[in-house]
Amino acid sequence: MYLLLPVFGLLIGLFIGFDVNFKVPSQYGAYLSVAMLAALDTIFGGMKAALQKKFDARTFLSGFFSNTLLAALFAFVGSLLGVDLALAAVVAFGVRIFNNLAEIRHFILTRRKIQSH
Amino acid sequence: MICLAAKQGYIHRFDHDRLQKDGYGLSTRNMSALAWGIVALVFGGMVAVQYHNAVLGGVAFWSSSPDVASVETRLRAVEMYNANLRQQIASYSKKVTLLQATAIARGGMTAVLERKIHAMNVLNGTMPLSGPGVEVIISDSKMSKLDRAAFLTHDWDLRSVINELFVAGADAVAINNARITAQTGVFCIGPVVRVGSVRLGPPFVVKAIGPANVLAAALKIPGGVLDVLKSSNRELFVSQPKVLKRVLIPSYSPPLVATQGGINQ
Repeated sequence: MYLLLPVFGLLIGLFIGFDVNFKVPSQYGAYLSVAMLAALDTIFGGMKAALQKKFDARTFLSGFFSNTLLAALFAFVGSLLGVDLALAAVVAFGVRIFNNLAEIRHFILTRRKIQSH
Repeated sequence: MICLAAKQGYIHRFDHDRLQKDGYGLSTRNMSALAWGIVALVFGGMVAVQYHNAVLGGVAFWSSSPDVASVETRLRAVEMYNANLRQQIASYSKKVTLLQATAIARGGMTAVLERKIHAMNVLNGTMPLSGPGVEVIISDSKMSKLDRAAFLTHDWDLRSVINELFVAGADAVAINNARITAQTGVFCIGPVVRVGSVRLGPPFVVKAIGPANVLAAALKIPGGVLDVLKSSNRELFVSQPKVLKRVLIPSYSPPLVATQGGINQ
């Protein structure tokens, strides 16, 4: 039952997002993009931690929300200062996401190897 | 994917501290499931909203950042600024009207001058008017698409109605709330009609203030303007002129941007 909670959560979240027909004004669209990227980064980080048996729910949850909000906030401050910090966040989070993905892949591959031998 | 990782998390916790309870009465295993659930929920919502934005809102990821965003923000700011200024104009003109009314009430030379100014403002179209008048609605016909031009309302149709109204003694005339002044040209631009600086489409609501019955009678003359419009085999929609006790006609609003030439600069 608890195993399916994330799946249900995702489905309910998608449903709510589509159903409420909430439209972010286009000048704030960039902040949502950055926030989403930060969220994705945290999710991959959480997966990595889970695989490495270092997962901690509190760190994960607080990291998710603070990263998301801070990323959007930084992008916003950047736009106020005329510096495109959204771009910096996209690059930084992109690099991190791919690093995490690579580590997850390596971890799964090496574990398989050990198991099969 | 998330589920898989979550599973990994549970397995690990399950092995190590199965009986360890968290401060909230949840086992760490359930706690991590809850964490993943919350995160998935929020993330799903974000993805859906962003999808709406990107696909249905027609704003792609990169176009949503610097250029479009800054232009839109600036546009909003200018619009707000303009709305503010319009409000100021309204409040100032109210004050002016009040002062003029007191000046007229006081009598003497100022009153004479103020009356003249008032009359000129009415002629000029620079003050809003309300009073008895008529209203007539003219619209395109829904006839065939073969010969569209014949079935559209043209500039000369509107001009003939306006001329008739002014000749019959109207003090103020407006088409769709665009005040007709001495300088207002009425001209066709493709399918729309340009009245002064604004472009109007059908239905055209022509309003006039003046001796209402005279105006209505002038429009209804057999063989008059409305009859010509109705009977010219074009199937235009022309309503009966409606006599109204109170017609509101706004003042002429000059265009924000100079449309042509620099003559009035």
